[in-house]
Amino acid sequence: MSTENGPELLEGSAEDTTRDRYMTFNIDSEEYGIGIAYVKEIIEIVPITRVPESPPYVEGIFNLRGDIIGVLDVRKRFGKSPKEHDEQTCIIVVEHKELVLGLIVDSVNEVMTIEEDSILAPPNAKLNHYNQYIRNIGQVSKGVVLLLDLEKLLIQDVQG
Amino acid sequence: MADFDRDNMMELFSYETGQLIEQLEQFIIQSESGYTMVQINEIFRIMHTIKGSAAMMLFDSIATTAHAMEDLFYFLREENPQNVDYAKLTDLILAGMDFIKVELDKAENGLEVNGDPGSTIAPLKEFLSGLKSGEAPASAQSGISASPKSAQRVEGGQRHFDAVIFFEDGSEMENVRAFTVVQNISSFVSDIEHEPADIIHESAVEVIRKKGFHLWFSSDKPYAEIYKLLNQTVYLEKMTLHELDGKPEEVPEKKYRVSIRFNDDCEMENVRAYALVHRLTEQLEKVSHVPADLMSDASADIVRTSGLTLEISTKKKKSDLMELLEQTVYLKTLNVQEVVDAPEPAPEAKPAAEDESAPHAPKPDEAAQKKTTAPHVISVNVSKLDQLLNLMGELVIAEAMVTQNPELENLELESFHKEARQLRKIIKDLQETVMSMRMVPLSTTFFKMHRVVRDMCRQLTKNVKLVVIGEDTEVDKNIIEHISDPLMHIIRNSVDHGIEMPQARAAAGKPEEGTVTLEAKNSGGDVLIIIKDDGAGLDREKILKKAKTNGLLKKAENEYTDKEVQQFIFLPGFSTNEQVTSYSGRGVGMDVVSTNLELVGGSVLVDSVPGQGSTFTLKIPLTLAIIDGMTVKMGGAKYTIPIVAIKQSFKADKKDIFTDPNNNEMISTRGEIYNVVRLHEFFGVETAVKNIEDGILIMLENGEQTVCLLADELVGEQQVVVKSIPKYFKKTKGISGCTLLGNGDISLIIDVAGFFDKM
Repeated sequence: MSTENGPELLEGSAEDTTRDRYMTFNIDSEEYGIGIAYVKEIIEIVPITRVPESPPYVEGIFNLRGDIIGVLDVRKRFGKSPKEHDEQTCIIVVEHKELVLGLIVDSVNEVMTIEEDSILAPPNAKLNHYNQYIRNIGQVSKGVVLLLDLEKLLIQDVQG
Repeated sequence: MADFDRDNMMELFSYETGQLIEQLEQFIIQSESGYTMVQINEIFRIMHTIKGSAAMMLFDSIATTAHAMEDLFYFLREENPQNVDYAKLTDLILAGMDFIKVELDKAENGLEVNGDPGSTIAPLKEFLSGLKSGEAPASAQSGISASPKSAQRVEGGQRHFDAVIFFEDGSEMENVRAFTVVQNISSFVSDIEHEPADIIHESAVEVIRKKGFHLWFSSDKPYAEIYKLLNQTVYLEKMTLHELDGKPEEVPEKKYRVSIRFNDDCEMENVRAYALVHRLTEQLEKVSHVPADLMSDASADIVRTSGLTLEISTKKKKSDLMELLEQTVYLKTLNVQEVVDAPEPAPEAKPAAEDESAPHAPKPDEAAQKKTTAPHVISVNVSKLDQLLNLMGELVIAEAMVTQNPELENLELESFHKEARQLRKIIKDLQETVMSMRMVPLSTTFFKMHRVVRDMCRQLTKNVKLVVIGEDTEVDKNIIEHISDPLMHIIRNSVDHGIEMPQARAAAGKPEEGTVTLEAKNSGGDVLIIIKDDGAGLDREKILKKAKTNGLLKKAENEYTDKEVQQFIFLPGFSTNEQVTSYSGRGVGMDVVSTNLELVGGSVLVDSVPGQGSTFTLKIPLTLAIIDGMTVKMGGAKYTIPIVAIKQSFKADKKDIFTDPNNNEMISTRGEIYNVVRLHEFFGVETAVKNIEDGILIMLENGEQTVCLLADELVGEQQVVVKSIPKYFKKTKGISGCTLLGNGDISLIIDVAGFFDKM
């Protein structure tokens, strides 16, 4: 078993209930997955206040029961064209190293188990500018799930 | 000691000890050139308290260090030696305190308090024995030398010592410990005799507990070495060691008149007095007391109102007597006077009596009175205050949610609004009280700087005086924590880089002693802390050169104003001093100042005149938590502007608006012209309101400057709880945080100073 295959954080304590389990969501027709251990909750889209001078994909801040939480638009983060929010649009609240953030996605699908042996490394040629956020690719019966590198998605070049 | 108690005790211990150390530091820095008796007494008392509580907490390293310092000040207090090297003494005490601080820090963080006090204590003891040997005639006269045995101790060539050792309470098996002491020293000394003589017998335990373990021996080792040797004794509570020279003369009995008062609220004074008298009669030759009958209730009143007077005759030295008396619990004041009824002990007794009673006697009184006012203050855990503040914030939001509930709109609710106003008023009062509880004066933070300046002066051989003004200005506790570091950096910078060496100052026609002024004052909703030095000032050319090598210059050098150049020093990695000193010059520091201040919504400005010095102005908000704000709507978002910065808000008339050739929009109102700043352009957001006359203008004031800010519409005035924007976002200049409005919406809070800065 190698640590290459799953999110490293999962090697720790809560591993048994969360290992190999992924929350999947859709952007356009592709299905993406993030380790379930990172997911705090899923909420419907709420009014979001833009913070001036933040990058375009940083949607703003919103009020989650009294806490102020920043929110990213994953579409914009991937460089895809913006889409009107509809009743399918959701915010996935994730937590990673004490950073709590909301991710706006087109729709949330399901929680699924992807065994380690059905997870493949991404192609080594990085052609699309957004595949830097893809850590692995999971093969499931209905096709593939692109498993995200949450750290890169959240942190990279935000401060820059 | 039960475990559940220990946390509380630890908290109390660290709080108290921290306070005492701060107090001590102030005393010591103030009195570097010499101590008054009052100060010595006070320092002695502080060390004694620290020692006691540390021993109780079983922090031996702290206790022994405090003990060593206590010994030193005990000696100073009792013997009042001349020619003391006070600078050296101060260094030693500061070193000792630093050690205690480190240990205390360990204790607070739950680490093992295991520092080795040896290297701290050794110089203290050396210093003490140096004092003692310089003071040979005084110390040669032994304290409890009345025992006939000491007469035999005289032989040629060797030194003779007389030592009394007390073990800590509860150390148990004192006789065995005493035996160990004898074993330990037996290879270094000869002719050991001790009292009690039979230490193997159980009965010796009681004697040692009460009277101490008395040793006489001879050795060729110097005093200091013997002292060190004995001081290694485990569970040592206290020890006196005297060197005897020749036959100790028979000490004559002296008479003392002692008046004692107990603390006001101690109750049952007569019983306490009785206990005291009982204890004294065990150890002193003769004790009589007024009132004579201590068993009646009436005597309690007499003791309470006029104190307990004791007539004591003893061969003991006055210092020993004092020590004995000071152990009394609930002791408020103590006055010991030697009664000279016969012309016998003339030479030594008189100065001693004067020393204690005449000039200084009233002062301990004052100190005691001060102390009795203390119980009106209680110490509260800061986390509780924080929690209270958070709840206060929730309450303010909840109040807004109720009274501004959309469901109430368009309803006729006369009495509801009346009650709501009353509620709001109470909440506001409550909030002010909560805030005031969190306010602490800057004095502690400021006084710490004395130490910083002093240490640096000694190391850099500069001559700098720190003048502190307005140290009683109060600031929120959380803010104080954030400004301590920046303040220290700036002061260090001023002393290290600002103030020149004394020769250079003399050459420039300035007084050799440089001055750093640290001033705090209130200014509207902010507190200004001004650090001013009369040093060399900032060197424009040097800064520009450095900025150039760091690639920071964005335009031609001569286009930078002095102010712009000066602000460069707050950028990371910026230090123009070629030499790295231990205090500054590594290029860290000034950028820490600005980031630290930004954390609490403050800012720093520098103003410098070459050759005349620099002035750093820290602007910090009085409090972080709750502000009065005017909320406006602009585009899809809401913004809250602190009320203190708003002069007025008004609808513009089209005829008053005009534009200059550079496309700057202006408005004239009440005979004055102001610039118009469109909020949406300023923050680069979209809005539907394009015409000035359709929106609302808010006149903002910051210092000298005034502008009119264009927003879409006013939402209303309310108190808002400041929340920080998640760290995920880069700090946006002009926005200091955000807040939740009554309906759950988020509003961004405009930082007026940052806003003006950005324009």
